[in-house]
Amino acid sequence: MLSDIMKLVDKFVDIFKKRLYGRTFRCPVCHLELSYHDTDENDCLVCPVCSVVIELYETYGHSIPVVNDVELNRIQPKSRLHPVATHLPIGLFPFALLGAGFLLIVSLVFKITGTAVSNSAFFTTYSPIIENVTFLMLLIAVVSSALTFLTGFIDWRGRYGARTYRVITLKIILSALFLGIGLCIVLLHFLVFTGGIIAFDSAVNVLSTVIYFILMAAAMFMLATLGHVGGYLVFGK
Amino acid sequence: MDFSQTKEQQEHVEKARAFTKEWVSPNAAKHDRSGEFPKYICQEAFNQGFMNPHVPAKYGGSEQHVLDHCLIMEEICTGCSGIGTALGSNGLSQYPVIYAGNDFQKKKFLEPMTQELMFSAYCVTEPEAGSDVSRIKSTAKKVGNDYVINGVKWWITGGSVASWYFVLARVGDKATGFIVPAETSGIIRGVKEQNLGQHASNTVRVTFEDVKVPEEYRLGEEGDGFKIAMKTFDHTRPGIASGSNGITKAALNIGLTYARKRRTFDKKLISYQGISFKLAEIMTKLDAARYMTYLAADLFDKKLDNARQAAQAKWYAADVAMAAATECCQILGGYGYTNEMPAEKLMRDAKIYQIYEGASEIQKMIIVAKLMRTREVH
Repeated sequence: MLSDIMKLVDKFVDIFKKRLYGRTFRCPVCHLELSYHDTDENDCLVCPVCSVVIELYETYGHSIPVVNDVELNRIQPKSRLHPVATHLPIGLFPFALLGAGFLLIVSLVFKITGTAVSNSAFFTTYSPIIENVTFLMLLIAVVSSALTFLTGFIDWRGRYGARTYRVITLKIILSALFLGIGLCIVLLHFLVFTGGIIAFDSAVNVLSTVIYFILMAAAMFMLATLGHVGGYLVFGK
Repeated sequence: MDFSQTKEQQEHVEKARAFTKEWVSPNAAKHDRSGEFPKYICQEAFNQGFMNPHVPAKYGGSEQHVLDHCLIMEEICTGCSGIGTALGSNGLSQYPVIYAGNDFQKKKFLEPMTQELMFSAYCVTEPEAGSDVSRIKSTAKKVGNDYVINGVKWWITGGSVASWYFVLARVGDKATGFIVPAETSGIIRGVKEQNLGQHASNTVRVTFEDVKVPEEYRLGEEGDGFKIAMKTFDHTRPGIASGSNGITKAALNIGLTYARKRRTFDKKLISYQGISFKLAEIMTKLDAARYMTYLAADLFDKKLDNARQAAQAKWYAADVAMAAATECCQILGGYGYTNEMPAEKLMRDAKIYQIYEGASEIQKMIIVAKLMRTREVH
């Protein structure tokens, strides 16, 4: 069953990649997957990872990336803010998701078993604390993602010469989406949780909860993709 | 002698070339890495009429000439010979039915293949019987109106995806051909073999344990099996040779493109004779292999004996493909050794052409056998 789910995920990723990247080829030096759209009007591009200058040719449908030069002395970012900033959302958001998930499960258990909240020491003492910590991590993750986006943008203009690469376009799109979705999650948080529990006592509450966790899952997927792609850009394949 | 292509052949070639550039070449590396069977590409090939070309028109096929088929296979294998084998391997199992099958068998097994995408497989090779087909140990015992088949077949192309098999088994000591539907109870398929090249092609072990087939699925008479199996190769060897020519053509194109663009010691690589002479040699050998292939195919289409010519074409084209792929890697230098360029795959894919459908050594034996019956060569 897990392999079926993975195959489905792979299928969707393939469709998405095809739409964004179009025809792709790999850098023959660092194996980074690049798009035909990344080349300029002379069919040339500079690999963002290993900085070789590639002239892209095609014969009988086969891609032939020919390397004749290397772009040395690329601008190094003066500060390393982006790599540092990026670890805030990547580090904190999964724990925010874990905290929210934990509170969801506990709320469901109490709802199903019918145990009154007032009887539960857990709810009166600990769940508000967990909820506050969860919200704090969520807030920091979302706010720091804006800082991550900004520093990444500055690095792109410096180190990559503001050249357009589909891989960086992907990061920009996903970052913007994560920021937007993150803000929605922060706002929804107040509709979902009350005093550390999810009450499930109204249609609005139930609907908000469903949307909240769907958005959390989507944001997590985006964050994982961003981190994964970012790692590729730094370390290659 | 007219060496030019007819208008119809030119249309076939252009259509196959467009299909290769759109569907085959862009997906070649992906299927080489993953080993995934390219079913969606075969579906597109089926939609465009590239599959099952030899099925007679009476059963819904296009009854294409072998020569036309060779022209098409060369184009497709220029993109990827693994994918080419995946969509071309039906011919090997279909031809025994075309050659020796009766109307019932053709209607039952060939006709459905022209209506929707289906595969069939040729089950002759065994772990202890490759070149020496007479060593096969699979048995078919007559029980009432059925035959019960037991045996192990190995390196069966398309074995996992086939809807039926052509199986060679012994009835007593007589090699006999059978058609065995894939859903028959007692057939066990092994895992996909991890071969050196042609990863897109599906190759598996197929075991037959007390597999019961009715008498009407027997091809010809008992003892006709060896003749059917060998006659099939006269038909398919030109197609195999053209697959090799596809690899040679790919090697030439890749080497030529690279040599024109890569600079070394301030000059283009192609300006060095050590490199350009390699390209000239590949081009010459490609043309030689092509014309031998076309001759073998043309003789078959004219219903003339082509055993020697088919053997010559298959052996020579395979050797040329291997040499061309090696030289292509050499021209690309270090880039010829990395899997991010298409050159190294050509070497891995080319090797099988010297082995399957009769190893090069067997082809030479066939040629010698023909020469032994010739008083004078003119």
